[in-house]
Amino acid sequence: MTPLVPPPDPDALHLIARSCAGLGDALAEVGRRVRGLSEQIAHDWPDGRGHEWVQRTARLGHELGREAAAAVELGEAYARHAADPPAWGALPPMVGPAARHAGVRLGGTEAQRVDEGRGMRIAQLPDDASTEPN
Amino acid sequence: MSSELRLQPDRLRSHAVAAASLSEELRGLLPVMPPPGAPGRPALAAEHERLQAAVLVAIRELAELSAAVAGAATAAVAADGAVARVLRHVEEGLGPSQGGERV
Repeated sequence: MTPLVPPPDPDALHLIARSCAGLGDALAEVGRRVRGLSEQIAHDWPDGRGHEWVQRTARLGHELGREAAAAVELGEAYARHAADPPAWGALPPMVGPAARHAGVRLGGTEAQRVDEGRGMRIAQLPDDASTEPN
Repeated sequence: MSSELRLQPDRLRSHAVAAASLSEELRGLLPVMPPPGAPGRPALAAEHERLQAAVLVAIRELAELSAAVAGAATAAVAADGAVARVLRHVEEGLGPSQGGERV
């Protein structure tokens, strides 16, 4: 039986992984420059309002640094995904006993029987369940 | 005005330009989302979406910073002008006979 979801294209995943890595580098660089800018503003805008903006800018610089790390991690996750597509993207193929007992087989719209079984099925206890524990 | 609190309009304008430039640089990174239909599990797409939102917030924050710093530069120029006018009036009011020796 074929997988229910087609496996992802490893090339496309590698492309996204590289894109994320590039984004991480760019965010890290911008974050570094934003932190530098906050230091310059602190020097040239020394009143209370300037201090508020310096704090906001410094915080933004640090957040950009964290997002850069997150982008790099995301790229690494895509790279791992590319290396092992069935683990994440596709549902495992249903073969063997699991395929036989996967659940109720529903009827189609063709007005044809889909199962050889007929009539009601009454739940029964297994034979060895007749000996009840004390 | 205390020299420690005196703003430098030219330098502030330069910082405003730098902040606007950084904002545009971040905008150039968009979109950070993978194209529609790209492979990947939903958790990765969600993280991509979160990154996109974070970059958009940073773009807006830098644009606001640029406007605020430019506004401070404009205010500093206006304050310098006001101080100059007051000093001129004081000088005119004192006059050469009342102002004593000019330095």
